[in-house]
Amino acid sequence: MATKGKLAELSTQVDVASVQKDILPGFLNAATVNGKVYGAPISMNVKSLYWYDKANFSAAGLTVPKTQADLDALITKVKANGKTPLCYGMESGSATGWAGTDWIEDYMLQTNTPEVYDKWVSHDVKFDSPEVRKAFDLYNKTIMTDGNVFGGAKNAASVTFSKAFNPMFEKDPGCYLLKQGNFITSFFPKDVLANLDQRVGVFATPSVNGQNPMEGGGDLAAAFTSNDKNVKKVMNFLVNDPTFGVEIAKSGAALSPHKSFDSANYPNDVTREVVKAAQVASVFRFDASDQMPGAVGSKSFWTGMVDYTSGTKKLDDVLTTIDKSWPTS
Amino acid sequence: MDMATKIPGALVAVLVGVAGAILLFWVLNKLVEMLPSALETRLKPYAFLLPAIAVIGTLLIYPAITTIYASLLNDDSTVFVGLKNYVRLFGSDTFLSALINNLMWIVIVPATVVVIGLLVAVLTDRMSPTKEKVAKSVIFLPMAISLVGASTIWRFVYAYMPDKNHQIGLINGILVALGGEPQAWLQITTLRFNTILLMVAYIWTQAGFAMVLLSAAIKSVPEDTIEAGRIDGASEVAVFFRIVVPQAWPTVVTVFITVLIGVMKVFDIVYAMTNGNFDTDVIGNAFFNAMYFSGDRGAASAIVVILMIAIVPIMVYQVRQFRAQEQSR
Repeated sequence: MATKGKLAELSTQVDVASVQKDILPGFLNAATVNGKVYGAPISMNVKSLYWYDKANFSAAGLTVPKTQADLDALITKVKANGKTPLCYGMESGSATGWAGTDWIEDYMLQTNTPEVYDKWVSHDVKFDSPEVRKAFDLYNKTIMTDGNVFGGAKNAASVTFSKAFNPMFEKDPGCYLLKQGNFITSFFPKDVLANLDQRVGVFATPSVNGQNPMEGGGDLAAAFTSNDKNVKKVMNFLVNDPTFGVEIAKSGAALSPHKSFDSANYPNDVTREVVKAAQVASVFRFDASDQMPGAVGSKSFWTGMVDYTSGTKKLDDVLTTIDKSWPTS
Repeated sequence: MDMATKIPGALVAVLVGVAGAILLFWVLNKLVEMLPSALETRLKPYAFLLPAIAVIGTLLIYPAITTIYASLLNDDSTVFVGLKNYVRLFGSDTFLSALINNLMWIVIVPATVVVIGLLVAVLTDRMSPTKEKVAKSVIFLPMAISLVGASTIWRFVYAYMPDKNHQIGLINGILVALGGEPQAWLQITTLRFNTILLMVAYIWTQAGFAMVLLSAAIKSVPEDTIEAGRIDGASEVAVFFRIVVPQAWPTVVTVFITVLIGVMKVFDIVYAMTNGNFDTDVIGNAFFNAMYFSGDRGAASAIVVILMIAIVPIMVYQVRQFRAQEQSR
């Protein structure tokens, strides 16, 4: 819509610099077209997160990994004890595969610069490229190594994403870690939800290259007209008013994109941890598959992850198939 | 809307529809009657055919022509590309795999449905009337369930969890109870076993339909022909294959072709159970994904045209068969 001239520039509505200062670096990229900012974030969700059962985690003598090397060491340690480190499920009805795309997006940010990530979103960097292969290689090492995933990575495409973590909360746990976005807590078993702060721990994706980027999403507000008084009032309320988002935050439905937002409004410590992980992030990027054309972002990238993880197709085949599916016009 | 307003609404709709149709034919009839009598008798049949032709024309023939045209255009129907869409489809492994699957569905499903329907019809025919009613009702019941509903049921039958304690799938539940390892059934691509599992769900919904028609056909086989065979010393098997089946043959063919056409268009089961993942795609699902996920009207139209071309010979055969039956009466 912005490219067709249907939206008003954000600067006509609010002070862009003050918005820029109060949100995560890179958030406005998703609302920027040809160097002009059109939208401002009004809510946020984050995806570069790992979850664990606190009791099981400490009973196994594990500590929160800060780097990929820490994570590798954790995986080795768990396996040495005859256990499985990760739970993973990517079954989601006709949307099966999206959970896999989140891994790749996260690793794309971790192994490349944000600029490469942006070029990947616009297909200026192809799937079949050394940059994307780095992300897939890390995914392969972490997920597809034998014994790393409970039930085997091959079967992950048959495991429902909203139940995959159940074995993690058992007394004799099936796994110790789950990687999912902040929305996953609402799917946790009732007894876990009742004592979320006591039972569940969360940390951001262990750093690969020294940076700590955060992948996520959010809602953006933009105006259609540039000089309507009332529209400006609404935009200012949505974007700048500190009272906006309080009710939403209390319900736990979404996070505020603002650094100045009072985290006392969130319903529990777990949510505050999530927000803290997001606020210390070096850079924020929107979910890549959500920004790619539908033929890729909600089709061939999903099936590519299913084919690759289940072992139906080799990496070369997967990458070229996705590239070929990119719309030509 | 609640039921109290829905029912009168439906009644009014039916009344208006019927009255409107009567009025339309009455007016057409009057118009033709105003013509000279020689012309009147010649035009009258066409006057009565006109509404039907108009409806078929606008809802069937016109869309068919635009679809064929759209299959020669690009993804948003703005540029003429000739046969490029077809070339692309027949060059894609996934589409060829879908064709193979459709072929499997065609070879296996209609024949199996007829055999099961015939078997049940014959066996229940020998039961006491009450038992026959109960048995037939139970087998007919799945007919009343929508295909998406049936898919949901069968997804639970095949459901998989890596953990032994959490099997919610029927087959894996039984397997684990007997000491086996749970299997991700819908991912077993060896000899396209997973496609056969999808067929089982479809056959389950169609067997009742075949049973009802074939049972009626068997019951209408004249008793004296069967008795004559028995008196001549024919075995029960011979009576069945040489006397009952030949007389029920037209119904067998009708059931076979009805199921065959349904199978060629199969979509719901595949979409709701695997969405074509793990090499289970079929033409119907490929069309849906090309149209609504990839937004590629050219490819979607080309897929439907291929399907249309494949169905035409069967339709022609059915019409011929029907005519032959009419003449033999």
